Amino acid sequence: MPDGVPTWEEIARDHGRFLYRVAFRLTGNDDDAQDLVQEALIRVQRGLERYQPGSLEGWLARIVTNVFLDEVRRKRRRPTDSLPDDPERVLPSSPGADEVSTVLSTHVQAALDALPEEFRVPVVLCDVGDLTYEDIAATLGVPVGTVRSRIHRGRKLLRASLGGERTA
Amino acid sequence: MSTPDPTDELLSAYLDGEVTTDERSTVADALARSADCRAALAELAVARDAVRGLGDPELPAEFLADIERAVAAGRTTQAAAAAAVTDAGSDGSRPRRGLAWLAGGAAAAALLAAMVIPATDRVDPAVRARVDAHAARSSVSDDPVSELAPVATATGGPRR
Repeated sequence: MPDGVPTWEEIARDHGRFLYRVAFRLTGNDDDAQDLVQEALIRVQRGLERYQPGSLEGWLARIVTNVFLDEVRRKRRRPTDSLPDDPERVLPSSPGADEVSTVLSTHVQAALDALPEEFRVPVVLCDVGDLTYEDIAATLGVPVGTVRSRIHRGRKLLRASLGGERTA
Repeated sequence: MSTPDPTDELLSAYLDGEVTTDERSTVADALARSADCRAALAELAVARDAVRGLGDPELPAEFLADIERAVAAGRTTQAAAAAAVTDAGSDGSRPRRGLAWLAGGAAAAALLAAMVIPATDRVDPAVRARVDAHAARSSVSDDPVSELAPVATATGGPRR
């Protein structure tokens, strides 16, 4: 392996949790996040020879996002493939009264889930994946100005969903 | 209908440090003269901080157990997996969602095992060999995952 290029195992060991974090915030549930991570790691293995040393987590976020978007497109093409609604997945279990942070996280994740993908993906890549707007633009294949606009609108929608007053 | 503030869309980028020098000056001026602009920035900061503050979702314990099972199943069905890959049809079906298909894709399972077992030297030679084998298969296939679907059926049940 060339200098600066990590091995597959190193990526899985050192960055697997990062992949799972991004996947979880994109999908909003553990099952789909696990599927995303699995497929992403396979694509990492297939693409590692082409990896150019640079922002490794940017590259990984791009892969997991592409897996997510592929899955979204697949579901749109074949809606009958969708898994039946599972109330336990849709409605998180009620936390105890002392689990304030869990409640808040659940609330924020629900608001994130409610965002249309075109806004959710750039917001997650920015605020969870910590990618630059330029990296997000490259990931999504859109101009940086579009990324800027989508993140802005996504945050406004999020704020409204969290109890804010601004939606325009 | 009010005219949108031209600086409005710059506010999120400003929060993220994704503005040019000129844009930064424009936003700074707007913030200095407009309480509405300051309030809008604060609202955006709340949304941004809420997402950034989510923290790490915990990797479920059963995920680890499933991975270990997938690796183990892959070891015991290596010959079957190889045969299935060779003989796989092309019906276009997608592999079943879940970890069981990893039993046939031991390379990914090995990766996941490495991911969740943060030791420095825990991947044994057999797994390494399987990683290489999977890489070889992947290099000649457009969709090695789908090809492994029959193996998934043969080697595991649903994750839950």
